[in-house]
Amino acid sequence: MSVSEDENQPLLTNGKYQVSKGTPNSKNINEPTSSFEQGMNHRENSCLILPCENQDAVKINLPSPEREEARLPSEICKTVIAFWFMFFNLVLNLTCLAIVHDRVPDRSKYPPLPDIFFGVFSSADWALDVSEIIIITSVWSSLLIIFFHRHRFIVLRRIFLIMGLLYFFRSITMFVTQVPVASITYYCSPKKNNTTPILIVKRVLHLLSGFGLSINGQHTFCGDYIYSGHTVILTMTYLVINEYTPRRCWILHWAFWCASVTGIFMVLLSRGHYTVDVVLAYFVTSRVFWIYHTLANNHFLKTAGPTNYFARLWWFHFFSYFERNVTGTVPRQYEWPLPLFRRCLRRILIM
Amino acid sequence: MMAKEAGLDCINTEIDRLNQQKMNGDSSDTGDDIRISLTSFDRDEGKFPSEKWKTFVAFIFMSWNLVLNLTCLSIVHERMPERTKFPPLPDIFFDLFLPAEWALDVSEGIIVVAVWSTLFIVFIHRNRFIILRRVFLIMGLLYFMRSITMFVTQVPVASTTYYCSPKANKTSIGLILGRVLYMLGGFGLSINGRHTFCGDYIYSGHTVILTMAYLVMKEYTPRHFWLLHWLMWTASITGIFMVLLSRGHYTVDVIIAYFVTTRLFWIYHTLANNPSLKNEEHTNFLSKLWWFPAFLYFERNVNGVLPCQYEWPLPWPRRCFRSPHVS
Repeated sequence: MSVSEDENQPLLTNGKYQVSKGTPNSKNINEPTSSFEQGMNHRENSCLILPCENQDAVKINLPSPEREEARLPSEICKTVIAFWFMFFNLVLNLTCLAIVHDRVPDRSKYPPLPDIFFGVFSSADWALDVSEIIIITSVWSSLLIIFFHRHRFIVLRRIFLIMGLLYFFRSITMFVTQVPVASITYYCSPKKNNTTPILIVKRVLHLLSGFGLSINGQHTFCGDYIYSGHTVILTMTYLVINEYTPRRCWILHWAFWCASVTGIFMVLLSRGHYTVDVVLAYFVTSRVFWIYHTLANNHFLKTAGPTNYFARLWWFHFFSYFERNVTGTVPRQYEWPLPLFRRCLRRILIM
Repeated sequence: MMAKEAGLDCINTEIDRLNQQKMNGDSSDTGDDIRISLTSFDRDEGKFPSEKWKTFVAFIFMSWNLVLNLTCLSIVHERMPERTKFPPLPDIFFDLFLPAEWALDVSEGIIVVAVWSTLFIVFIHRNRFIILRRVFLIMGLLYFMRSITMFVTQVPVASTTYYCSPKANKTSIGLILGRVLYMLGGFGLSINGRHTFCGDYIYSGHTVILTMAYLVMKEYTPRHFWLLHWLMWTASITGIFMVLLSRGHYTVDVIIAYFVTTRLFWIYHTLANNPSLKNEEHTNFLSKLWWFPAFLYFERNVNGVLPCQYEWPLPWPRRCFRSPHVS
């Protein structure tokens, strides 16, 4: 902002309007000349002229009204980068699990910790399979819906980035402190006395092939409790569906909500996690999701400033890079994504 | 600068209205002068009302949650894993550093100094009631969430030397109440000799206090007081390190406490300092937070960023002090 008392100099500027002071016949070098009559406010050439008592006048230049359309470039390259970011953190997660498996307290000496849920409900081994089936169904359903979303690359990019962050946080909490195995029946592979990098790599590859799910029979390493990855996935699928599907599809939202709650309940029932793991996972997932989307949907939060405390987040610069060119809220629009049959199918616009 | 911004806001508002008329083809231009009223720049009390009643309500909220915290601790003390059967859990910090019992006293000494320093700064701040209200509300939320995480799952005692009171085989309401009152007398600190009930690990209250003291000090003191900020930062880091050194908490407790405290503080202050976030629009995802209505109640009448202004609040000896310092 600049302040000046000189004629024809901008008095106050904020990048939006120019207010200048001048005499009735003075020229504003930034705007086409216009004459005006004393005592009348006058509009000409997008200028607003406000007369003052002392024969001077204030000329306020009004910008022409523009249509502010949201810019939503696909930027597929950024989506690919976000995918690799998520993948890297997933591998980091599995690496931490491969390491902490040998640090988990001995099951023969450490029974499961006291837990409020365990005190109320008896355990059920089958519940873990139910939970993971719900996870698989929710994830594939979400991916299908995103596949048909008109701005699928933006949505995917956001999911990848948020999931990458959540996996990264989880790597830290999983690594620093190990709690005893919560289940007395779940099979954990034997520990190794000597942990070598080769062993870690083999374990990571073994876990990768199962996508972190026990139902695939590959998740036999224990110790990844704080916080619950199952809860993260179930919470994320609900939040994504709720955000990127039409508001009137309340049945879909309700179905996903029920599925998520049921899946989380089943994880606890099977003693796959402690209650504190679930509580922490829900908290972290929901807060990161809401913070990210608040930043993305409010342009004044996309730049660092004294009132933008989220600029202090360590991942804010990542966010700025990925969301820099996305202006406005991503509309809920769907289309057939493949070139084939596109002529046969009209573009569907659902709001 | 802020006064000019306020005036500019008025001008922009009026111009927006006129522009809208132009777009709508409103030909109601009668040729009369257009009056644009500018906010008075001198006194900003209207923008930052003290609303002492709200500060009191926030204090009650925080006190309630503190009592809830101590109540949960009194209960989980009985559910804590037996120390004879459950040695401390594996922890990365414990592997790197040997335990030191004296470190807990150092940490709590730092906490006492940091808290009193912060309270003094808030005390001489011109908008002390607003700041206190915010601190009480945030602390209340943190205590509440801590009550939940502490209550649902109990981890073994992290220290092999810390004294934990014997368990009572029968817990009654009277017993719980007695424990709460006993602990209230010590303000949750071990140096007062009254924090002898164990089980309040996830997440670390010491880390919450130290992190909050730093965040409040940094937020409500002038930016060029970098030395003070640096000192508080160092004190907080040292205090947290000492808590871990004394095996007062596991590393995961500290990490979670830091995460929750910083995110809550930043969310709250972003909401408070951006007027467009003080409503439940679909672009404001933070309005989905369960405590958002409470936030609206407390911050509804606070308009803008609190200026860094100080004054001696008591009538005496005010003559010895100069008029409010504006930075």
